[in-house]
Amino acid sequence: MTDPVDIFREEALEHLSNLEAALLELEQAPTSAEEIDAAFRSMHTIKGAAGMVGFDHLSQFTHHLETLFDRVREGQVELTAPLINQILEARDHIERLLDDPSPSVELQAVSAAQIIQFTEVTGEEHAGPERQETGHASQTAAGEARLYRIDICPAADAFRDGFDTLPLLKELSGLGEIHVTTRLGSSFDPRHFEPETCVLALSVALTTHASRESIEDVFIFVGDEWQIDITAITADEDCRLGDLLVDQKVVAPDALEQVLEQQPRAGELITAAGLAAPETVQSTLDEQRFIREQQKKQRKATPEQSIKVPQHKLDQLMDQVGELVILQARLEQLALESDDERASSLAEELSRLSTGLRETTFDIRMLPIGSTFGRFRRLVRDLANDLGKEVVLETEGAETELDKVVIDRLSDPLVHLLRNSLDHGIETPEVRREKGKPARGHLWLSASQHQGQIQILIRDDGAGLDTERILSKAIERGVVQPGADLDPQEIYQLIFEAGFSTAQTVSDVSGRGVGMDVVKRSIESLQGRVQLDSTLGKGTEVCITLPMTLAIIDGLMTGVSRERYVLPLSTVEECVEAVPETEDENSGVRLIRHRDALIPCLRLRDFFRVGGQPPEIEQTVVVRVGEALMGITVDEVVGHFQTVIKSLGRLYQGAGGVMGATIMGDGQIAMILDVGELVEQARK
Amino acid sequence: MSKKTASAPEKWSIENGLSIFDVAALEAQCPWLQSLPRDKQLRLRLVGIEEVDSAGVQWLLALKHRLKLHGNELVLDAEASPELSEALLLMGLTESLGIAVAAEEDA
Repeated sequence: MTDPVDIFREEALEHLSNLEAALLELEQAPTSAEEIDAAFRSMHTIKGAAGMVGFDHLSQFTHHLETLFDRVREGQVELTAPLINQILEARDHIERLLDDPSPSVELQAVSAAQIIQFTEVTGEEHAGPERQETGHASQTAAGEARLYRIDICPAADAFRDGFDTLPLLKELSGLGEIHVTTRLGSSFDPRHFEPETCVLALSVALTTHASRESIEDVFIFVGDEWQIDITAITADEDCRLGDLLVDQKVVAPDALEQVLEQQPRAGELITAAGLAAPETVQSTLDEQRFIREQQKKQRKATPEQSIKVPQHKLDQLMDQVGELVILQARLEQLALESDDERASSLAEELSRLSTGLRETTFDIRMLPIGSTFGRFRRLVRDLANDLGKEVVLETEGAETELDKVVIDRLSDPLVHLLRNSLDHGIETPEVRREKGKPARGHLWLSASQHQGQIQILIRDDGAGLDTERILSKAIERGVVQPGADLDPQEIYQLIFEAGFSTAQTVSDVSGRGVGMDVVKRSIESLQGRVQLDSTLGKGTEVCITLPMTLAIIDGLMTGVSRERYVLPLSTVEECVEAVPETEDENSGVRLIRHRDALIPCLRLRDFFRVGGQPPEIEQTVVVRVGEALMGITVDEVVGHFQTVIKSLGRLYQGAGGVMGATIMGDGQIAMILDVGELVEQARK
Repeated sequence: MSKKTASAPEKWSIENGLSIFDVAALEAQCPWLQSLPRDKQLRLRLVGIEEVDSAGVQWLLALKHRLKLHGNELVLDAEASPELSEALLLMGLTESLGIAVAAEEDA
């Protein structure tokens, strides 16, 4: 993505999310200086950037919000609930204004109406933004002006990419007093000058009350190839001509050093005049050198930069890493078969590299799930208002990381579960009071990492599930036979049946009888599981367990006859040679003794009806899913295997106990076991 | 298409635009830069410049620099438009590229 407008839109959406998060916090704590600053910064940045990429109407609109937050910060305007509502509406309006630099007449009318509301609050004249407005940017705490030196070296393609330095300079001039030096940079070649290639280098001395962040915000939309160095110049810092010329790359540091070498040094002059002993001067010079080196280091220390990459490129990278892992397995197999030491050594080296590459690639794709939590807060707030309920959403574990693809696909099921809790779970304040509960309901959304998997909990303190009602509805719908003997857990699971709904009224929110089955299917398509637990009158908890990634996992390869099966290594506790101690003839459940306890054991040979004779000594892999332990008996344990997960074809999608397949080094297919489902099967 | 090298003009007038959209065409008009005699003065008139950006200002800087390399001088005669004045002021070039008060019409 190199189009500045696309970059602007994406960044602006991030700022809108920040604004929304800040507003939702401010609803609880209207005077939080941190949140007011965050909201101000979002508006300030969008305003500046919008102007740069030709979204003038948007720039003018956000100007009024920026002013509003400025007044709030100065204590002149109070953030009331109606005002926060208005700002949230404005936030949604800004999102619409991002579509087109020249919005429709209707959208402009909406802008005008909202601007009137804001100007009434701020007392500002209803006019466009003025240059000096940017001067209100986040100010330094002490209110003292600071001097910054900003070296700007635009990318060679800056002009062709639609960037111009003038709007940046204008914005900087809005932050304070500036002195700009513009020159042709070192890449300028007079004999081969290309006028559309940018060879400019600019140095800006800026005296401002604004914070460093506000200065950095000016450059937030320029390309990654631009070099921007912002240096705060302290009052006691040397500001020598030579140093400045070196900073501007006019004079090479070595050349300056040579010229200075030819002059008598201050130390020599002082020594010659007998003002100080040579050794004293030398030690002081050493100290000076040290201080300068430290200063130089401080100047060079810039925060780690990041770049944006389109998702399809990351997907391509992941695919290619997957193919590389398969190729590496083939090479390993070949080395093994040919008994070639050199090939084995190569295969080992490749394995080491591909593991590192795989982990790095995963790491790039991982995002904190908190990025989705943010938008749920708005959803819960708006929905609760619509339903006349008072609900607080509490989140935990926002920093838990998940593959971006999983996060994206998880969003809709989570929205549905939250809507369900709000609509059917949490009661109205009146009903809650009657039941002796606090009028305000609570919704908890938490994420955590557990045994290499991600666990997401959605819990409410609402009415809970009524097993009798669910069962009678299920019988009425023919989902279960009358007189069926089901325990509460089994009854709860009926909710996930297609077309099942117990809502007494059909609302706009949910209760259409479509949804929970879709939720379950969506989670299962992510190789996850969803479980539900509830206490009547107390609330409901939905637990979603997901793998951290959908692409490659560390697996334990096992074998039954000639068939190969992979168990996700994260579920494996240990491998034992064990014979079943008991076998229930009715249920066929085998039990093995494991650390002084009997655990159920499932023989893969029987489960998948694999032919042939089992060996005399079988291997049992002990796996754990949640709190449940189970043994899986196989013929042999082959060993660790980097497993590239391939989806099963439609024919096998209903096959129980498998979540995918993988290609082995010899080209054969191995099934990847869905251990959670096997545990369920064993339970049944 | 003449194969002769065009000679440097003594006066040159640029109107309306001095931006990324104009610089390639402007550059194409000055092949004489490569073969300039020394000690010449080029008077460049910038008339009614409504659109100016840093690509345009860069071209002016580069022109001045290249003329100077050949011992020549660029003199800007301009009826300075507010846009051009503001751009040069912002970029700190008012003095070095200085647009003096509009030159007398000596043509």
